[in-house]
Amino acid sequence: MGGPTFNAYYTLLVFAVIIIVILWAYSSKNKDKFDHDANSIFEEDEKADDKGQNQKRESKSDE
Amino acid sequence: MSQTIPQNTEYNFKVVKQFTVMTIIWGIVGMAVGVLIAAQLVWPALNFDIPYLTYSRLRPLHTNAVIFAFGTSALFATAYYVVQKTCQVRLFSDKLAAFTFWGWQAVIVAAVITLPLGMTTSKEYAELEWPVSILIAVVWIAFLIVFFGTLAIRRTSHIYVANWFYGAFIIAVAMLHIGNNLAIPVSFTKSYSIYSGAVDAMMQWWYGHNAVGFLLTAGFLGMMYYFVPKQAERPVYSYRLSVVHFWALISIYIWAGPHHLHYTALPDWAQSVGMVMSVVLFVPSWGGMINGIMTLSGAWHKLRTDPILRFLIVSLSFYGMSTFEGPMMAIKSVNALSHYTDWTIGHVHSGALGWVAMISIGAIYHLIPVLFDRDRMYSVKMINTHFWLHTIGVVLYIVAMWISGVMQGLMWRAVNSDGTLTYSFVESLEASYPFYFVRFLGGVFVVAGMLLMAFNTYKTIRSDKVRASEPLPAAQSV
Repeated sequence: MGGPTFNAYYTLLVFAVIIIVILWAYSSKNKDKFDHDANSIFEEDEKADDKGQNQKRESKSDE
Repeated sequence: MSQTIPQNTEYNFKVVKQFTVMTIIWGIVGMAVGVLIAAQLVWPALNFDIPYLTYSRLRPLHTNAVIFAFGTSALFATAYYVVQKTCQVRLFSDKLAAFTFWGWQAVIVAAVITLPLGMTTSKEYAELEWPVSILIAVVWIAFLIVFFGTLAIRRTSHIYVANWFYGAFIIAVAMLHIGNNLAIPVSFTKSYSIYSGAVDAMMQWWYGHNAVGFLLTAGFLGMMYYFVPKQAERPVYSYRLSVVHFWALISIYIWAGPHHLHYTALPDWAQSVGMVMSVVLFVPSWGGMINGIMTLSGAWHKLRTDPILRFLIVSLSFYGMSTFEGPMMAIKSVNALSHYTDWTIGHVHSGALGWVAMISIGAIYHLIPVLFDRDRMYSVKMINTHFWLHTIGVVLYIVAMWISGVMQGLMWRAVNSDGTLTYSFVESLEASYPFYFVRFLGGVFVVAGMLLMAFNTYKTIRSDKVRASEPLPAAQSV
């Protein structure tokens, strides 16, 4: 298989992968999971940090 | 599982602090060398006829220092910080993490010594000779073990998207570095690449462009996906878009390299692939940029009062600008005008100073108070001044290089009616002089900003009494 043929198949593969990822990411089944994941970076602050800069974030991440 | 047990995780912040401080120091060194060589282009006598100070030897020192010393130290610092915070667990191995810090500093010191001595493989961005190259590979694999080891022992169920970008960056750089640096040593300080001819060129730019794609883009996008939401105090605009962004970016970037080799001995089909893949890259790049900027949607007022957030968001605008310009320059007909001119240098610096440096500076301003247990940086006004110095510097730099580059491209291709060249090369060089001065001036602005940052950081770390003297800018806006 030469370079151009390989590239043609590679392009098709990438195209298929991206379509699958889009379907997976935007399926309504996964919405809550992703919303939760997006907020996960604020969870940590609830625990131990009591510095002024972090206190404000705590209120935002309780749900 | 993502519900955390209320216990205090003892994070390893020591290595994060070390890399954070070194980021600022290497930033100043690397950018100062850049300003020196910019000055040499205006006043050639500034090499003082000393071989170690010639442009040809200092230029690779500048690129190595800003990419691998400044940029990569920022990536080490933030990757170690983000992976611990989002996985809510201490680093996998403190000893190995310490090894990556000291090993990486040794690599940089070796670069500072060998490059001015003229020891080079002559491969752009991979100039370091084989003993240093092996040390880089060893340190990098240790980094990979620490990072993925930490992901493996995480206390959360989910791996936050920033870690995906950091992970892809670490794996890809290991692969690129080892692939491109395969060489046969002929002495302790000289080796020859195992590749030759067009294959060597293709390997080199497969490495070179993916260093841009994975180190200077994917790594810093990891930084963006953590620090922009943190500083804005709201989750990323669309987590789903970030997932699509990740997979699209990493599956397309790997083929963009040939656009560095348009109209060369590289097979035509490979040039066309490089062009098409580069143009397609525009889509995920802008998806990521919009995702980052729209995180501020509904909270735009924060930009007025928070200079750290301004650094982060303006870096994304430069990212958007560079990722529009890049695909355009990869189109063969545009490349025929832009290649080998200063336009390329302008493009690189809008990415490097606009995107990479600004997102790193913003992330570091966010990190320092957290790491050193301060409420905020010593002076918010100084951050604001730094922001304007940096922005003015970058704009001066890239506008000068755009004008100079397009002018060079047009002068080089101009022909008289009898087919002879209208301008000699020296005429185009003379025409570029004023722009080289403006570029030098832009560099001085950027370095001045970095020095201010170093002072501000020093005061933040050293003095405790300043802590509550004025409220946080973000606090004022709430």
